[in-house]
Amino acid sequence: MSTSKPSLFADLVGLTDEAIESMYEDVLGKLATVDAELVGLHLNKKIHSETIKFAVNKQDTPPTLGADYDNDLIHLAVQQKEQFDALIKARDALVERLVVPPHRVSKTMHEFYNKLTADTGIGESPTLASEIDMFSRFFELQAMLRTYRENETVQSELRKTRLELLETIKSVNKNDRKIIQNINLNRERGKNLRNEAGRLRTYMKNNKKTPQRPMPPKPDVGERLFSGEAITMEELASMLEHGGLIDEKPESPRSPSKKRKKRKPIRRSVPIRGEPKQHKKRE
Amino acid sequence: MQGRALLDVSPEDIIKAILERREKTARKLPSLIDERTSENNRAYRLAKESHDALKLLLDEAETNQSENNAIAKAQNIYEENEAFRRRTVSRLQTAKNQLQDHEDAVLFWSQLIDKGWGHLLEDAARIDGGGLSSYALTKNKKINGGR
Repeated sequence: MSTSKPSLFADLVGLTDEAIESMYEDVLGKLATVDAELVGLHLNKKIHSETIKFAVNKQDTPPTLGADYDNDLIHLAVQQKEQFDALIKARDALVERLVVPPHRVSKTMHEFYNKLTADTGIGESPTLASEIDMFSRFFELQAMLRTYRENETVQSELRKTRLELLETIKSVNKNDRKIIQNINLNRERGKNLRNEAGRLRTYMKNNKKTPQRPMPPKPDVGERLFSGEAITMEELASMLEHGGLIDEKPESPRSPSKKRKKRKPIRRSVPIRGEPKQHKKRE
Repeated sequence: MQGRALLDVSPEDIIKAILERREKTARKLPSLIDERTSENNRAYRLAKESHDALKLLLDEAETNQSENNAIAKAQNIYEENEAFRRRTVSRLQTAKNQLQDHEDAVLFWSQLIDKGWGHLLEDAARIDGGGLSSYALTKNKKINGGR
């Protein structure tokens, strides 16, 4: 007993050429939309990743946002990070100026005050020289403590901004994960649509009816072209129709996966005339 | 006194407190010096007596075993008394120095309360003017190799 497989084109049998052609056009249209969405998602993903890197100090510069980029969360994150950096700078400048932390300033002031004013035994009393030094330092520390108090807002602002930035980055990260999910979904949809377009095209070819528009190129065609490999006439036609020849700008023309033969330097067979060859003498 | 209250302390307050403390201590010093002087006199007398006794024993021409023992004993007594005398001299001198220091300090702070203390508050004034603290200056100096 033999089981016959259902035909891949069973649903197309009986349909007119025009209907199949229109189905094919429809699939291509959807595929173009999905691809465009995918490009947008990739760009958005890049901005999200760069924003996160900028916020955690793994990148010095903020992401370049176009004038029409309207994601408020990203704008907010960049703004909060810039504010946070400014506050850190202000705090560091203050610390560099005063050096001694506020709790130590307070403690030392207390000690000096006690030594200068508390009634001690005759032998434990400080000398005039140390009294003068402590007097001078006490008022220097007092000025330092006053400066710290005046800059208390910087500290509290810094804490507040830090917490806000952390919350914003959590949301950015959440959105980033959502974008990854969407990219995967779109890739899957694109793959299915490409399969469907291929199926329709094969069916039309088998029925001696070549479709007007060629199939959109596969994602790896561009890479192959730029790495110097040959592409078929159909793939070239597809790239001319759907784009990919001009816009394609691979980041590095030599991808690490491609093994390229290292060219040997051309050996000069022509004898060198004129000056005699110089040999290095061993010393 | 805690941070907030210490911010309200003025140079006048501190100088007054120093003077009060100094004057209180200065009142105790004369009696201490008297005590140390009499102690020193007693130590001096003991040291002199033991020194004379030793000298007497050493001046005798003939010596035997029992006299040698007596000399050794006298020598020990003299050394003990001499050490005690030196200690009392030092203590008396310390007390006298303290008295002198107290007198100088009272004079210094009394003059300061009238004439002003500006030169002692240079570091504080620099910080109030937005400058570096003396701690920061010292740190920078260390980083720059003392320049």
